[in-house]
Amino acid sequence: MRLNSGNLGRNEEVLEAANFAQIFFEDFEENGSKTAIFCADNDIGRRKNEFVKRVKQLFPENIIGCKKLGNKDIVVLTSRSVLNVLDPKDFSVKKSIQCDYFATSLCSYIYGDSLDSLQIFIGSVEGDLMEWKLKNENKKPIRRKGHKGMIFAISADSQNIFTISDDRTLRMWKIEEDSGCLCTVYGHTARPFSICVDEANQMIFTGGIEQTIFVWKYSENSIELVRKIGLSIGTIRSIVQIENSKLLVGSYEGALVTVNISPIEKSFEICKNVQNFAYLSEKLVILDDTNNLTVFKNEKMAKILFRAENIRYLTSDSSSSSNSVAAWNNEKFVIFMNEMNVLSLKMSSNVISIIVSGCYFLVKLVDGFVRLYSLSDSQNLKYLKKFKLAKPSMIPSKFIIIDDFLVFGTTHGELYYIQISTSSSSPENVIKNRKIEKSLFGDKEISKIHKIEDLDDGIFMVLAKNGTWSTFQITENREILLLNSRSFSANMRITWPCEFLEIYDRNYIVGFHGTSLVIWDTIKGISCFEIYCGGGNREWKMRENETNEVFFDYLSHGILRRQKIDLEMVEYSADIPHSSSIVSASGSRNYLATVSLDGILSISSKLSGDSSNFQIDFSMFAGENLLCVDIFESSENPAEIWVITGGGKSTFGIWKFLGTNFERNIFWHRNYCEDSDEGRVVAVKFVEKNRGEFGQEFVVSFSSGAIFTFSIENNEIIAKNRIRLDENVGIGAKIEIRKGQGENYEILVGTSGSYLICYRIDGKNVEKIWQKRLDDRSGVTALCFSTKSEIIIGFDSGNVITSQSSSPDSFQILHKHLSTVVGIVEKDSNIYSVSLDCQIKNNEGKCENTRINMPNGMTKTDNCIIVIGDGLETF
Amino acid sequence: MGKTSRDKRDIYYRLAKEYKWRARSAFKLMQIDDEFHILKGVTKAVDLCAAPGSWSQVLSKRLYEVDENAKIVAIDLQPMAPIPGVIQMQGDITSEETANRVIEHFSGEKADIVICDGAPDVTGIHSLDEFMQAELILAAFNITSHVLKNDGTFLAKVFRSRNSSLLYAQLKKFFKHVYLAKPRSSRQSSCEAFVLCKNYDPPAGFVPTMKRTQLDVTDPAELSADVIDGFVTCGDLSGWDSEQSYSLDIETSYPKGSEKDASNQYEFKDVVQPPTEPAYKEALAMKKMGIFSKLEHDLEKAHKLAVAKEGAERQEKSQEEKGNIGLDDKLVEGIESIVLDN
Repeated sequence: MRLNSGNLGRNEEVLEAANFAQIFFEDFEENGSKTAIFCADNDIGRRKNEFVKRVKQLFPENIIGCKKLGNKDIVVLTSRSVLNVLDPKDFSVKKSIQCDYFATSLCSYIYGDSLDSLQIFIGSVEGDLMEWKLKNENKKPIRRKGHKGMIFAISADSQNIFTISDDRTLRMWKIEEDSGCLCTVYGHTARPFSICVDEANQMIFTGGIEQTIFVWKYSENSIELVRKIGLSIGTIRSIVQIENSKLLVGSYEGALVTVNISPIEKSFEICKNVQNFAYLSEKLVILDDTNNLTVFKNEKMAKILFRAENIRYLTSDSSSSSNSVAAWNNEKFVIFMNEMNVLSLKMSSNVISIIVSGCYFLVKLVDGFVRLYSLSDSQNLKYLKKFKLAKPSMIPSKFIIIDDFLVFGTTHGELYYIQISTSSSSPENVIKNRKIEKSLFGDKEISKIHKIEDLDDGIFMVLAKNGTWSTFQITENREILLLNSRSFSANMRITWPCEFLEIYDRNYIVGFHGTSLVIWDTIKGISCFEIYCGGGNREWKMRENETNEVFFDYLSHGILRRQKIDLEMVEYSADIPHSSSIVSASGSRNYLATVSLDGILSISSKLSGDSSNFQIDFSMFAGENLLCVDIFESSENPAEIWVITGGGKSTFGIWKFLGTNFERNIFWHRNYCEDSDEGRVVAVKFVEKNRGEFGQEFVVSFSSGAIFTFSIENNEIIAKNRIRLDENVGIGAKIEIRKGQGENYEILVGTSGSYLICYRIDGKNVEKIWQKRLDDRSGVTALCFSTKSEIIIGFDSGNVITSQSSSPDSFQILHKHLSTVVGIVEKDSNIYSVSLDCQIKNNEGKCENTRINMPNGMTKTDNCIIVIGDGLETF
Repeated sequence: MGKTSRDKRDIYYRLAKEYKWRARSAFKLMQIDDEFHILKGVTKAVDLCAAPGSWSQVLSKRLYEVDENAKIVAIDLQPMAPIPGVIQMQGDITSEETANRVIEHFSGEKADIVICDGAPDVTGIHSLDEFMQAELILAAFNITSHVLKNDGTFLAKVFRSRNSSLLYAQLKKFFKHVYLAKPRSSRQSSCEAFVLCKNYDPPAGFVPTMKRTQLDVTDPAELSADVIDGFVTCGDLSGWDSEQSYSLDIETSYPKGSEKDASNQYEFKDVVQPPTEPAYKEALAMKKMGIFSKLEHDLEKAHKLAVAKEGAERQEKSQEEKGNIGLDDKLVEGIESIVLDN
């Protein structure tokens, strides 16, 4: 989906126009109805009220500019600088003028109202801004020099032309005369592709590969970068201003978001000279820099409820719903508070640290002991447990009480648990294997332990400062099982996840990225709010008031400040979670799993033949450089859904979702790498035991030419069989599994060197049944078993062949494409194949075009066929 | 990723470094030549969009080193390091003047073969890249129509994507045979291939032009896969698979298993020819100098300044409200003493 320029009034129109490459102008009155002109790569069409007329293939070249003149004629500029004057009634070409500049250009800006006054700016591939004045049938353009690389986009206000280029600069030029480049500014560190000018507010918006909107303020002769708005939607291809304060931003991969650009309400000061602060519901607790602790009735600080001197430390639960606070001095004296009570206690030795969770306090003392207290509604402080840590240097950072379990994390990434009611006084590691623990938390502080409130099954989640989010479950036999652990990609702009936030029934993770606060939507996988909040060691709380406004209260240089949060700063209009092209897809009866190179796995359901109707149920960062995926849906109710993904560094991941409630974000997951020297994982396949029953086994093919089989036993992955393909047959580019008799199954391998090989796997036995050298030497790029057991093979050459039966002895040509076959699917006993030439062919000789520009594969669900690539299309 | 990572996953990248080719694409031309013998008997060759020069290197090796009278002209907008027997011309392939200069170099005669491995600086936006590539080939064809002798050969890189059949159909009008060649050194996962046009035979009355040649066929759906004379995989015999990851300790001779002079021990080698001057050189230099992080810093500073200013305003305001804490100090101290005595 690409939107190039123009101004649009309503979102729906833009969505509808998504299949057109460029939108040039709109809303001009014509016979009393509003009309917009859309230009695809080389088509032109118009929209009149609800009707889009599209004239096919009007020009052999790309359209790079379009304008309506005063006499209602439409002028269209094509990429080799031909200006066509069109009759507005039927788009017939009245006149064509070729500029004396033949090289290909990508963008233009047309200025003027009549043919004779037209001044056309063309951005050249070499970086020159070509200026073509048509007066007196002039054909010679003037070169305005400046840019050092290809110009990607041009925009203008009434006085100035603005250009962005491969040299990463934004330049301003006078429209009237060539007085050279007025101003050159740097800022982009990767290619900028799109520009939008807001003359009324003297603002420029640019964006490109960085996935960030650069906001510039300009004056007569200067441009200044004033703000960057990070998005995580993929390469920005288009920016259009739809309202005074709203931009519509389209990504190359198909995401469309609206971004609120009105300046974020500035933070304001609540209180000065603050060392630390906390809330007890409405009450504000301040520890000031003269070591006075004060409890105010509310944040207006009008009424003091309590005061104490000589306090050095203050701590509270980090969560927004905190209801307990502890404060202490340098020695043994501790004050415990909740909303109702204030209690103080003298400890047996000096306090090292106290952490709070709900009504519980975990106190670490110099004597090495950790004590657990609770202060519930009764006025008594209850002493619950005393235990010793494995190492005296350990300091608990976060804890949680679940039933009888005390689970706590440390400042160095260890996770322990202990049962409160037992006599045990030595906590146990949640993860018994130190190596796994280290790889999980990277020895970094555990920043949050969070119980899923509405679940009784003992599930809790852990955030750590190494940027991970893990889920654990207390099992029936009182053990703690690691369900999954995941991290955030660089795109997601969340390097330090700290807190879960639930607002309007939606779940967010609050974290930090550099010097910014980031609020990240756990379902959509995007950061929906980001603001500068300064660096350093942070003390902060999230607050929600009665009108559901959300605030971020934080300490900055001794000042307690409040920042309003706008969770709707970035909103999705069209939702594609992948921010790079989708490289592989696999469909089950009801679900579709897709993966992209940027490492996103997503699962969608409710797909139908109507492209616009599908829903992303789940998406997550699954590891960099994903290349392949397979999905399995069991026939149970609710279904078990299994997914394997494979990618770079010989690593694959396996997922199990129970039921279809993906929003809970609860699933079992393991990453696995047997030997990092096996290269990329190029193909993955599940083994089905009986129809609809998961065989607990799967097959993985590597770019080293190895094919391994694995099984899942007791929640762990066990390597079973190892196959190495012969030298010179290539790698196992495509694999298919065929169920044999009993427990055994066959692996069919199509290689990059154009061989077809069949192995039989029977428990621990591997037998090569046959190997066939295929006549088409271009390499196997797609493979499929039909329901009639025929073997269907697609090649790099574009040929699709089929065997007569399950035997590979004779093949016949089924389809012929002009480019690499990337997918074959059987649906309703018809074979469909898709190729990089963007055509889908079937057995009835029918040929359809896909709008996906670079298809990478094809799969099916019960309802439809899906083609994936630079986006997703259903048939 | 370590610096050997690409060596492991890209055997031709590694081979190119070992055999001192400026780019791995040298193998693509060699594999096509091994299959079609397009360089056999050639004495006048033109390499379009030649930089960094790996195809010119192949021409030099296979033509000039065999026959010193062979003339090779390499054209590019950018300069490149010299290659024995290759005449370098810095020029624009869309200009007629360039074509005339080529013919001058061949003492008025026309070329036996024109090759073009040019690709637009890839933007990562497929439709744009494909379009630019198609435009580049047309430009390459236009200059070829000026400089190629009848019965000559034209070889160019294509992206086999949407609508590329139109290009094949058009070339088919000017050449007796049009093949698609895919060397094994070009990845299957890439849509790159090479269109090999043999026996140049322009239609009667055709006048070479630098302007766009008109297309007769405009609907790709009208064309079947038979528009080309064949898709040929080249280089099967070299034994190396561009898709495969190889360990670092294997023998890297080309073709695989052939004699190799140097020791076969793996040793990391730098690329022979680093990329030519990028457009974003200055932006990169500024980034390296830390100017952008400074810029980020300035944004922060401006923010802080605004915050400070606003703070000062507030302070003034709060000065006015000073003294109103809502509770009697004595009362507070009273509560305090009770608590502390507890």
